[in-house]
Amino acid sequence: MSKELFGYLRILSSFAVLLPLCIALWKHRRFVAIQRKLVYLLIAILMVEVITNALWYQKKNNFFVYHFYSIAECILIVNLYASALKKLFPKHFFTGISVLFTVFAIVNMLYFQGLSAFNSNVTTTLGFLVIFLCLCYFYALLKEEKYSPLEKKPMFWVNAGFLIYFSSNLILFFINNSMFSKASEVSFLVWGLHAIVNIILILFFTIAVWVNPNQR
Amino acid sequence: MGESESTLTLQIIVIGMGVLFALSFGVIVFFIIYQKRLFAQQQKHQEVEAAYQRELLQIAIQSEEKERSRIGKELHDDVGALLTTTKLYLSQISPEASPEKLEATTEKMYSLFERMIQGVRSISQDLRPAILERLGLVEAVKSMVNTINDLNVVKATFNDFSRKTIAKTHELNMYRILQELVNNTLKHANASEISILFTNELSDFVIVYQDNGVGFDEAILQQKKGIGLKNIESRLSVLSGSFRYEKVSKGIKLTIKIPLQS
Repeated sequence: MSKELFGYLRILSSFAVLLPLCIALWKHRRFVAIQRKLVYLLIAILMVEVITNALWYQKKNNFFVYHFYSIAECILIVNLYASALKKLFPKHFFTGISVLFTVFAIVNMLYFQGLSAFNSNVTTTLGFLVIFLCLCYFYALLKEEKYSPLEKKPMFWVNAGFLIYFSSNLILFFINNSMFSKASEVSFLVWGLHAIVNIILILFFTIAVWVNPNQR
Repeated sequence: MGESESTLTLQIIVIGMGVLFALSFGVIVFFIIYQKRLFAQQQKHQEVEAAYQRELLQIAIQSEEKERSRIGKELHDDVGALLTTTKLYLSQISPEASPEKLEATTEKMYSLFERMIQGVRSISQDLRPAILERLGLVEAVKSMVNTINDLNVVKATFNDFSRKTIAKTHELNMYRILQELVNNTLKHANASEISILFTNELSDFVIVYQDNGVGFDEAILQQKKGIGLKNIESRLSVLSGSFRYEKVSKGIKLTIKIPLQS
């Protein structure tokens, strides 16, 4: 993949989040709780993209941002699933996960992967955690006493996006640090693929923000 | 890292990402198809249930109309006719009439009024049995059994082993169900014995109704239910109750269960 194409993909992937955010601005009045929680995650994503891109253009290391973002991302994602999976797990289960993950991320930051390195341990763990929550959500959907159309459930779209994104990027997050520390044709291709999957995730978020679960 | 090693790693990553992408996409597609099938099944089930409820409602309306027309007919043929006759007798009363004739007319009118009172009481009794209102289901069923025995066609027995009975508000529905069963036996079963039993089973009030008549084929009955049987189903659905037939050597045995908290 050429550097130029990667550049376009990266920009598109970074700011694709503006699309669901604009729709959220338009439709926020009839939002349900899950959609409101999703908007918090979208705002966090936008902030991270703005900061990391600004650092990228100044040719400064932006990995430290991901150390802090991973913690916020985990809490926001777990918060999304806490209401979707409330029949499956008690509330303190989700609080416990968030606390454990935060402690792990801090320990990793201090002792294993410093602020100048990509936090692959944390992102990989987050990947496994989110995949587990995704599968739990599917299980909870099957256990529902009364089925309803999936296409009107914002959480279904969010869940589908997470499953595709985190499972596709699991290997990438895991070996990223050791393999592609320098910018090269190969790293452009791999991160280009990541950008494509990220755009797919944002598209799923857009649908989740767009649907109206109250409409009959 | 050597170039060949880097290419191999790249291939592993790209293939791995592709496989995982396809797998997760497959899981989602499978889930959508599976859930849609479940959803369709649920909707079909709801439609069947709604159709059944509509049928029960129609039966209830039909049955009510039938009852109204019966009461109307009774009022017209019995009380109406008696009133007309009484009016005719009343027109015969005049100052010129002899005391003997007046006395005879008064007696006839008195007897007509008596019959009218009986007729109205009988209609009223049919609409809402007074004994059920005053003394409850058990006494009402005892009275029903006595009435059947007075006909000298069938020997009816009633045993009450229940410790807890159904709510007062449900008694009339239960009484009507028993009336329907007795009517069916008297009309179609050609039976010589009827037995009614009240008991309790866990949290249910149980009624066992049995006769030694000709019985019926349950398979045929399931396909072709009469208004009487549908009426029983309709009333039982109001009580959240259920019923089942048991095979007996002669006649029918029907067990009705009604949850006590319903």
